[in-house]
Amino acid sequence: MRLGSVKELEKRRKSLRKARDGVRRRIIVCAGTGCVAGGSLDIYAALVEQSRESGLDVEVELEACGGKRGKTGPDYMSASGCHGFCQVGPLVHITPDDILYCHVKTADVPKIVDETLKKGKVIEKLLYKDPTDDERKQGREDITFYNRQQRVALESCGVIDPESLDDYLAHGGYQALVKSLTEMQPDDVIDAVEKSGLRGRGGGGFPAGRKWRSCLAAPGDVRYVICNGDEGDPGAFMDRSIMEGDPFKVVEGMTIGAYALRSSSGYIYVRHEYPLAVQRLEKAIAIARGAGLLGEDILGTGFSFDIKINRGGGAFVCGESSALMRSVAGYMGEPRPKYIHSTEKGLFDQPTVLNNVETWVCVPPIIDRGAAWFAAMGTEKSKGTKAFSLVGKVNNTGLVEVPMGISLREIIFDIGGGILDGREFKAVQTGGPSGGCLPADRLDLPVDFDSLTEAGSMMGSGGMIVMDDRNCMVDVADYFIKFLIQESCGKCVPCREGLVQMHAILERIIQGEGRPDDIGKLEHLADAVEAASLCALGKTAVNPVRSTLKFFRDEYEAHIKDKRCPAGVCKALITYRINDNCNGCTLCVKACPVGAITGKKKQKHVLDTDKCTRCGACEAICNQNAISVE
Amino acid sequence: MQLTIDDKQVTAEQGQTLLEVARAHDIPIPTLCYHESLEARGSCRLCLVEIRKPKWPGWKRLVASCVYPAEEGLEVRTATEEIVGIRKTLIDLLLARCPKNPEIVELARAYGIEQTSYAVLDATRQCILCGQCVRVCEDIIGASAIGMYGRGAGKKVGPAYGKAAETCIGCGACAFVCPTRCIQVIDEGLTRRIPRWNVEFELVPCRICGKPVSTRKHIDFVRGRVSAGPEVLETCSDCLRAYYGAKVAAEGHM
Repeated sequence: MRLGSVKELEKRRKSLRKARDGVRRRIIVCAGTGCVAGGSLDIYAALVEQSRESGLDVEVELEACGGKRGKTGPDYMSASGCHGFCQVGPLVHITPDDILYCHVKTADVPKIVDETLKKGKVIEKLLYKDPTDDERKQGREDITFYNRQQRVALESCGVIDPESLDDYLAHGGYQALVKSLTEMQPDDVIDAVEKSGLRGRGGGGFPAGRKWRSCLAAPGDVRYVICNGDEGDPGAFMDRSIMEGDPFKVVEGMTIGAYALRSSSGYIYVRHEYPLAVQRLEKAIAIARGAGLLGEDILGTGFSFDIKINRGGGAFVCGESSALMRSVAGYMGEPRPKYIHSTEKGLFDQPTVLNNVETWVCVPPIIDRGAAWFAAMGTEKSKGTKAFSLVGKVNNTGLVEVPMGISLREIIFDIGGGILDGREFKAVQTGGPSGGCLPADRLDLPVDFDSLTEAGSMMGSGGMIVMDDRNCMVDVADYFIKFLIQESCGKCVPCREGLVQMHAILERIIQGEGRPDDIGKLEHLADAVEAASLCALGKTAVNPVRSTLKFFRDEYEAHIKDKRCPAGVCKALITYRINDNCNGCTLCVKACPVGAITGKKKQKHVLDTDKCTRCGACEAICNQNAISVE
Repeated sequence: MQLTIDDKQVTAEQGQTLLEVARAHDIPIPTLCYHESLEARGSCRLCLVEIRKPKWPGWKRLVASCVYPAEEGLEVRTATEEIVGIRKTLIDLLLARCPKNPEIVELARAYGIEQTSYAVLDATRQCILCGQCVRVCEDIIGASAIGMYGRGAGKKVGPAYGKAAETCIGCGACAFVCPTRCIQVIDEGLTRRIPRWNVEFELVPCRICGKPVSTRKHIDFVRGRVSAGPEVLETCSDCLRAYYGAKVAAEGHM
């Protein structure tokens, strides 16, 4: 249905809100990538089918929830984007009762229908079990993973149906665009973004308003807006979840940006490895176009803007803005020197504004609720909130959004529920391959752009990998260098050749062949690669090595001087031994693939260290804690 | 505009790069991926220079002079201790990449490096991936027979899919610009081979002296772009010179 004017849109919104208010319960099945992999689409289909079979009044379209019904309205069942709490998915959330079911299986559906949907009873065993006190918690309000978060970018993610414009409208979607088009001049929009203090969420943290203003000031008739959805940091999935869970907001944010910049053409660059994001964005764009919210004469205001999707071929470097623009233009994804900014000479050599997904979705709420509202959150220089994907050795893995300035400790220990298996925290890696590892004594550091950079790491796009005492920091540094060797575009000498040589040095340290001057050599190379590389990928590629050398130098020295890996990771430097805890169960004897363990039942076993390949199978299977790693 | 390079006051035109300005004033800056006929690529990083701006005291930045545009009042230093140190490291890295390439070995020697401090992973490599061959083939010749493929440490230059370069015309411009001379153009009788691009061509003999002029494909390629017949295109440069020399001598004009 085409919405030919603002009046028509508001009329539509009004009727959808009426329908929404008539809904008795809302049953939301997470259809983020993680939960879909866990079978959530089958769970959703089964829920709809079985509840209808059992006579419940169920609707799957918001529009259908309106009309004449009895006092109790229908149950509205929909799939949604990522709820964030991927650790315990597939998730089913029921509102307004705030019941969150975790690890749901299709086999649980009959019980959910019978007990919860029909009788209103909560199924205890499907509730979240808090690892800190082993108690079951009913809903988001009770779970610290959720109740300590403050969601702006992720506000509707996991709440609304990402494939329904109706649901988006009912949740206040396109209010900001209407406000921009009817009450604000393009310059007012830029003023608002500038005053909000919004900084680019993609890594650099450049003030978005300033970027927009310099693009507008650049000479040229054609301007482009680009949404960077080429999130490539290992372990990061903020932008993916937003694109999958709230695609209309990405489109709306870009449309507002285009209005401010007087642009008529936009691109969303998404990784090919994000098929669900591509699919949902394509659908959202098609629906928005059909509704008159994209294309010619948007809402009858005379403003025209359209968006194309470009799929990236899986190159990390294409997340770098100039490489991304070359890729969109059809060239090899290589960065160019940015002595002339892309705001002046960007895509097709025209003035271009590129922001990442999370930045774009902050724009509608800023316009809607005002710059002051946004600027009131966060710290003096880092306003608003930031989404992180919290992964690694932490109890609650998932997607979290917190106000800037909150401490690492609060994120990892309160929201994240502490370290897995009660082990000791060792480091947190922030900012992806361009970031660094921060140790325990930096846990109280406020999480904002400048504090993290000052400490030798960076905010990056928001990856946060938690490591415990079983992670070797030399190994971690080598992992990121290897990643970057593969992902460097290979254009400039320092990044292409320097990283290979840093890897060679790290590799020999890991193999127990480290030389006394290797640390010095690493530092020398790090200086040259950082100073001489062409783009930010190369300039920051040394951060994992630099930060681990700064905070975990003793670990490097233990590898080089004592030929010892304190974390028990580097195979060449560790020995497995059987200790006195051994009760002679023979489990490890059977598990050892090379027959290095011998022993009879109920007698302490013997491990032949010469035969041992240090695969760790014995340690993994032993339930007596009888295998020690030295 | 006026700027200083190594404390020397120099004049520059709008649009000139720092490297162009420096070379115009005989200030040496080493380069490997730069060629005056090609669009600068800024990839070898040897031409790094330090820039400062009087309006921003204390600020400095290292930039690739082959792509950095000249600016009024800029203070440029081409050989500070830091820059020479970085250049040395870069050359050392290139030597580890191509330990047997005479051009790189000679460059390293000039910087006092006899042997690389880094690991040699493949001693047979000769190419430093500067991309001059690719640029000349695409931007000047217009054949686009070769390109860069792969990325990171595995990046290579070559024809598509490693097969024979179908659109190669055998002109040899790639070999001409190659700074490490790692592209061989081998002429034997009336056959030209460029093994690196897996191609072989028929050479056209000069219609006067019989010495090879160029490849048949190259001559056909040029014929499609200029209005000249075989009397020009299939005559070697020596005979052309002799022919026109005699013509001018006899007729007073060409």
